[in-house]
Amino acid sequence: MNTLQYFLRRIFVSIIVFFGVSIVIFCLARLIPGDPARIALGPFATDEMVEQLRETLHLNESIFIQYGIFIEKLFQGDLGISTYTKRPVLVDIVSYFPATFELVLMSGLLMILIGMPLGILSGKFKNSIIDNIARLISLLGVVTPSFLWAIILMLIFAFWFPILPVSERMNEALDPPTLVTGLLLVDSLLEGNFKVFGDAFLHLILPGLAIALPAIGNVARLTRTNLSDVYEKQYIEFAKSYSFSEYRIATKYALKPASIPTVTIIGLDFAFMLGNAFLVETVFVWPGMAKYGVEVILAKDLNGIIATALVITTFFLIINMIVDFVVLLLNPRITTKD
Amino acid sequence: MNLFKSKYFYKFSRNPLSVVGLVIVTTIVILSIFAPFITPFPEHVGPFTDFANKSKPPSSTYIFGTDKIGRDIFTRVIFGYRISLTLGIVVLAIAVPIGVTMGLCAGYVGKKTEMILMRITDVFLAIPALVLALSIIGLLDRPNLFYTMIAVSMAWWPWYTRLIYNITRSVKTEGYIAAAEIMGASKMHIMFREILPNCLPSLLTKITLDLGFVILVGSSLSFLGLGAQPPTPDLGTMVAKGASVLPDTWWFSLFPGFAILIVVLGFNLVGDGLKDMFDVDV
Repeated sequence: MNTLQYFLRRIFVSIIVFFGVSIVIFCLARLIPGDPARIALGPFATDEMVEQLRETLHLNESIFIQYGIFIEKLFQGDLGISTYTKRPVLVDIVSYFPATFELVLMSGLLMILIGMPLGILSGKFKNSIIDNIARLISLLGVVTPSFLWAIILMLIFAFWFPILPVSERMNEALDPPTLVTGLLLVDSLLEGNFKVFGDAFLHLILPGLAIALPAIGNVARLTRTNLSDVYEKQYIEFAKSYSFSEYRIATKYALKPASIPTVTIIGLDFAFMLGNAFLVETVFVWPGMAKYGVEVILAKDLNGIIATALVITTFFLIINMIVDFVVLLLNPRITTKD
Repeated sequence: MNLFKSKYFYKFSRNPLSVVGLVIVTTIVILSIFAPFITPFPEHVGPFTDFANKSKPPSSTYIFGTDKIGRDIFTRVIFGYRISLTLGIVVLAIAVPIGVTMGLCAGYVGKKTEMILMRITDVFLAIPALVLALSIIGLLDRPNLFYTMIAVSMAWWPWYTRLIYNITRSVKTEGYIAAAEIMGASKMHIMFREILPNCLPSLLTKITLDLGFVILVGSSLSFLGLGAQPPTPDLGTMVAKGASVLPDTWWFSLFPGFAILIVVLGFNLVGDGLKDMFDVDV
């Protein structure tokens, strides 16, 4: 199997999983006891209003037809009207998703930029202070709820030593850049507005770190284990016997194979980070999907809930696809295996 | 066989961290069982108010301080552990049997059953656990503790299917399975009496680790206001209530938050100990 076939097959599998996810979420939404229209409108709505909403949501059709209508509209970019914001759900998603996207990307970056070097250092200086600190972080990282990280970081860096901002995406006194991608960092750079860029970046640090901390330990621990495994391989001995410099051995021969399992786990870590984003956004008053998600959940907005779950899952699927491609670049033997 | 003299326990007790974990877990379980007799102010659990002592910082009477209507936070944390432990046990009591049965069926029966069951599992695994639990709660009626349990269970079973499936696949080629088949043992007998016992070490380890993680996810849901509703003393709810009044009354949220950390840490350390003891990977 060549690389292209592998790519295509991977994309095909993702599409199948996406349809599976849409069926699961759709069925959950329709099979759960209680009339969604009644729940959305509340106990004081008249029967006519409920019947009318049932008609607009196609609730009187059979479940197969309902799913068909749902998928057809999905591909036209129509996720329905939110009964909570009274706007098309797609408009809501477009306005809330970029904030979460930016935040999770920042966390992913922090996870790799802190986790990998930490793992390399602790592998290099085994049982030293660095190694023990890395172990402590990885143990605490996994068992601490991310909302607790958020609160601790907030207390330390915003209240006791006020050096970083704690709420919203940027200082309200500054003019927001014109909306192009919705990502403040990109939009401000496009305008050449470095003041906003810097401010938005500072706003990202604490929430980004709170989301990344549970994953940082994971990445560090894996990097440490894999690196020590690779250093026992014969080709490293061989390189050493050629008296290549330690730097060259590390960067050219050891790091690449050692990073494969880490990169694989990064895909899974993104699922945790997307979930954790919901908690951290709440603490930092971040105007993202979490804010929207929790609001639509409390308002029993069926379309909003389905869309939130679908968007997050799609994002996760895409991340996993990218991760698989990166792994393929690191290890080209994969395609020839099966 | 005396448990404390077995080689397993010896292996477990050689790791100081596992023993620390065991001590933490035992202490928390005992505290929460005997909560009404141990806590200083058991009456503070419900809708109690004492405005003379509101928002008191930690002191010798109130070791974790009091909340904004004068209730002792230490008492409420201990009672919060009762809710958390119940949640963990109930969720796993629902998720583990479903996951194990599906994993055994998929792994042993194979063919179409395997394909269908594992594809369903994959789909559920593709949705981030917390997001799936959140959506289910959103679709159910008003949030409460029971719905939280259902929602978390729905997000949790696929991991057990995957675990048991992998073990079943590697075990089913063993000689004693073939022997049982030749003797005409039923599929049920082979799955539950021949294969399942092989899964127990991994299963026990994963359940121990997961008790902590289920509590973590459960408290995350109630942190978002989608779990047990006040005045139930839920740890996540207590953290959320305190987060809005930072930094002045930091003890409102920090102590319940650390309480969650400690219980998850305890189960995690014991789970890691079991992992080494049984020499399994979960």
